[in-house]
Amino acid sequence: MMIFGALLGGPAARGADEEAHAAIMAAVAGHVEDGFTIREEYWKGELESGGKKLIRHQLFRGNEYWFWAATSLPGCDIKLEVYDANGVPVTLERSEKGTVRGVRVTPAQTSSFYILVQISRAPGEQSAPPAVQLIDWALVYGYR
Amino acid sequence: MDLSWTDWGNRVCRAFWLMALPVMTVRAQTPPGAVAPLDLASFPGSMIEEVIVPDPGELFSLMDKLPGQPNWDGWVRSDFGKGTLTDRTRLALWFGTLIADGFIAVQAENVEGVTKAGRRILELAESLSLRDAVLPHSRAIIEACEAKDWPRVRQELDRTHKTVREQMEMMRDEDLAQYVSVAGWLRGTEVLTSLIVESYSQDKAEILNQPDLAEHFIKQLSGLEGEGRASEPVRAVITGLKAVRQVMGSSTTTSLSSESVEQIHGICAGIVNQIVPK
Repeated sequence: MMIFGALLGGPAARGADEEAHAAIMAAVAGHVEDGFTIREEYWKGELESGGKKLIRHQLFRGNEYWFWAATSLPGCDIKLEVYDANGVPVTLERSEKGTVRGVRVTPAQTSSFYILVQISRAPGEQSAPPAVQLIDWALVYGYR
Repeated sequence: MDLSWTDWGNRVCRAFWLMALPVMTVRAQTPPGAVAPLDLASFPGSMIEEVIVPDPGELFSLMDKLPGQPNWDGWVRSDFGKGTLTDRTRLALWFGTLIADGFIAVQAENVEGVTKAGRRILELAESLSLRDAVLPHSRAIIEACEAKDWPRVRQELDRTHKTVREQMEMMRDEDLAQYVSVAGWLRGTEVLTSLIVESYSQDKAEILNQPDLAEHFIKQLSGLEGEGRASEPVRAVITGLKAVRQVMGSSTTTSLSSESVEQIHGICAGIVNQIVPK
């Protein structure tokens, strides 16, 4: 039955970006205990190895933010940065837990900020199966 | 002029250092391991179009961090709109304001207000054919509220919003999903602006520095092609958003004046008044 479900893409099947999201949610449980609200909505997509995505997002001075990115594909390097509206990096702290990378930001002003996600296969993982050309990713944020 | 080999050597060395100095200075500004600034105008990648709208709690919590006790309770509705609508556009807009109302009642830690909002959310979900999807959230909101677990209530309200948006998108009702988001933002801004005017400070007014979000909503709503786009409440929302965008973008500093905040309040209150049936 479960096999049928998986073959038909039914409830048993889970998208790769959902796996990445699940990995983040498992990694950030401690932040919830520390008073962070983790947003239910999140960004997701696919990237070619070395590809970059930029996300514009409104942040508020007075709040503290963590952004976390992950991919379901093992052996990838994830670069995550936050920049202000002038392109100046504002990341204060970084975290690494399993495949999840995080950055902490306390905005100096209320404005739009830019979050950069870049994912590359690690040098030893370049010979991945040709079917896996694109790398899935998910980006979650929390505030307090 | 005769120069010895030593003089030539000294001159070449000096020239090398003079040429190398600017390069070294630039490198010194970005030490190894430090992140270089990003040239946003020529970013070698693509932008993600999807915008995640901050939830009302994200803005409301800022008010509680700043001096002055905001009167959240004064903004908890005694009723959450009367009558039954059949027009799905109006229902979606009303639903969006209700989610924001839930956040307001949570901020006030008003058990009755949250419970009523939770029930009304379910009733409206039923009218939108989303009862089954929303029922677990409605129950969880009321349960967490009875336990006065306010962070959990906030999380459930955010989950409700996400579920409704996803369900609407699955039903190819993307337009409705946009209406839910924009109406929630408008109701949240209506209340926020009122509380800022009550005890104005530049720090509080800075919360309204969101012209890009207003612009995003204008673009989204103006680009919709469904029937709702031409309806009276949606036209009123677009007109109001353009006015809000203009006021938000009018300040040369990051904070708006008290008069500007009041102006935004008037615009948002006027729209919300049209959305919520009496």
